[in-house]
Formats: sequence, structure tokens, C-alpha cells
Amino acid sequence: MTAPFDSLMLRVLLGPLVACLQIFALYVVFHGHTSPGGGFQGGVLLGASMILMMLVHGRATPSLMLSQRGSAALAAAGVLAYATLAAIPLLAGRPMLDYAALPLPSLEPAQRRWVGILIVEASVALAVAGVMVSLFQSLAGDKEVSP
Amino acid sequence: MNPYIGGLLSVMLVALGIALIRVRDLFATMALLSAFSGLIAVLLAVLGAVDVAFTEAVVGASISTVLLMTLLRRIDPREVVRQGPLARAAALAGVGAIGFVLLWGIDALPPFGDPQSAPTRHVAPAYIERALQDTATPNVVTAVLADYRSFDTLIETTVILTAAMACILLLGRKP
Repeated sequence: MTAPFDSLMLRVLLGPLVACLQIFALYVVFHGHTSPGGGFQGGVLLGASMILMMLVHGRATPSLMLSQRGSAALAAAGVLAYATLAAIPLLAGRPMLDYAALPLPSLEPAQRRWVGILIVEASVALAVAGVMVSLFQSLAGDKEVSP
Repeated sequence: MNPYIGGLLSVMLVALGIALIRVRDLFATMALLSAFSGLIAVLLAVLGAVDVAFTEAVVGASISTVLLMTLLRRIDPREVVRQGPLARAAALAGVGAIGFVLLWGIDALPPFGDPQSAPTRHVAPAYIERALQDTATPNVVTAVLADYRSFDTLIETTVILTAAMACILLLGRKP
């Protein structure tokens, strides 16, 4: 993993910067219905915030998420959530990914589709964030170029 | 699109392209590639494709630069060999041939924003008219990506997961 760049400036600024990035990422994901952006872009921003933490802290990053296993599991969980959502309408005898068949009886069909889109965006964001962190971890690796 | 903005962006893109060919340092190459992607994102935003511009900005200009710079730590600059004159001439001929075919085919594209062109008359009007009442989602791009063409998006997400798995298997540390 990347060696930590120890600097007072970085340590002080990292927290607020990551917090802003992650709030913006969540806004991009969950506001995708009305504004540009969505799961993919928000997921990349989320992954970027985690990569930033790893660049500064290196191995000492205090989070379960940021192990190689954790990021791969996150990516797989996102795809699994999407696939599960795709399969739910099949149980009601409707085509795959027909969100109007989601079991939400109090909502209009259009609103059920709205909920379906929201779940898709969130799953894609998880998958993309996991993939980005995982790619970074694989590429960073342990091998160092001899100076 | 304002022709001055389009012209300015095009000139800057060509200048960046020439700089990318001339520059020898890998770090500088990656910085220039990031700038190139950033300009493409601005161009896409000016053309009105805001969602695509956003994607280009976060993926092309930001995260791929970070990933490439990470790779740079694994590359010894002394191992980077400049190709001989024959290989460079072959590359120039190949790029020239592809460029010629692309420029040759430009006539077949419809004019920008033409309401009578095939892509704008096919399924796009139905999506634009029905997206709001079908899905309660004002952003048509989101409705198309996550609902009408949701199957595509599902497989795309699977594809990037597969790519990540391949990277882990090829490059990852042993747990």
C-alpha cells in the first residue's frame, strides 16, 4: 500500500475535504432523478474520497472498507443488490426489471419506478465505489520501484 | 453552440494533442492527458450533454489520472524505450489512415441538433414525452439509464465488477 505522506497540513485538511467529497457524492447519487449525475458518477466520487484517505494515511487507514477484501465485497454487494432488484418482478410473474411490479402497494406505478431507479442508483454507486478502490489497491500493490 | 467557444476548445485540444506527442516525461504525459479529458468534459457540457460531461470529468480527468499516477510508481523511467524510426513511421501511417477514414465518414453524420435526423426521430421522442409520467423522474437521462435501458446498466455494472476481479487476480496482493 502507498506510504503515508506525513504532513500536518494534510492531516488537518483531509477530514473536511473527505467529508465534503462524500456529502457531494451522496447528493449526486440521490439527486440523480432531477439533476445531472447518478450512481456511476456518485460512486466514482465516493471511491475517490476513499482513495484520498488511503493516499494520505497509507496502511494505517482506520476502516474496514479499505482492505482489499472489503472493497471487493462492496463491489460485489452492489451488483448483487442490483441483480436482486432485477429478479423481484419475476416473482410477481412480470418481466425482469419491471419496477412497476415492486411490492409497494401504497404507491402509484410511476412512483414505484421512481423507487426502483433510486435503488439502482444506490447499488451502482456501491459497485462503482468498490471497483475504484479495488483497482487502486491492486495497482498500488506492495512492489516499490528501486530508486 | 457558440462557434467561438467551440473553436477555442478545438484549438486547445489540438495544442494539447501536439504537446502530448512532443513531451517525453511520463508524469507530464499524465498531467496533459488529464487536462485533455477536462477540456473534453467542458466541450461536452457546452454541447449540452451534461451527464456525459460529468462522467468524463470524474472518470477521465480525475480517477484515471490518479490510477495512472499510481502505476507510475511501478515503472522505472529508464526502462521506457523510444521506438526506432521505422516503428514511428508505421505508427504515423496507421494513425493517418484511421484519421483519413474518420474524416471521410464525417459527411454521413447528421448536422448537430438536426430534428429530422434518424437518432432524434427513432425512440428518443417517446422517452422524452413519457419519462415523467412513466417514472416520475424529470431527468430523462436517468430514466433511460436506470429504467428503460436498465438491462444494459445491469450488465455494464457486471462488466466493471469483472474488470476489477481481473485486476485483483492479476495484480493484487496475496491476502
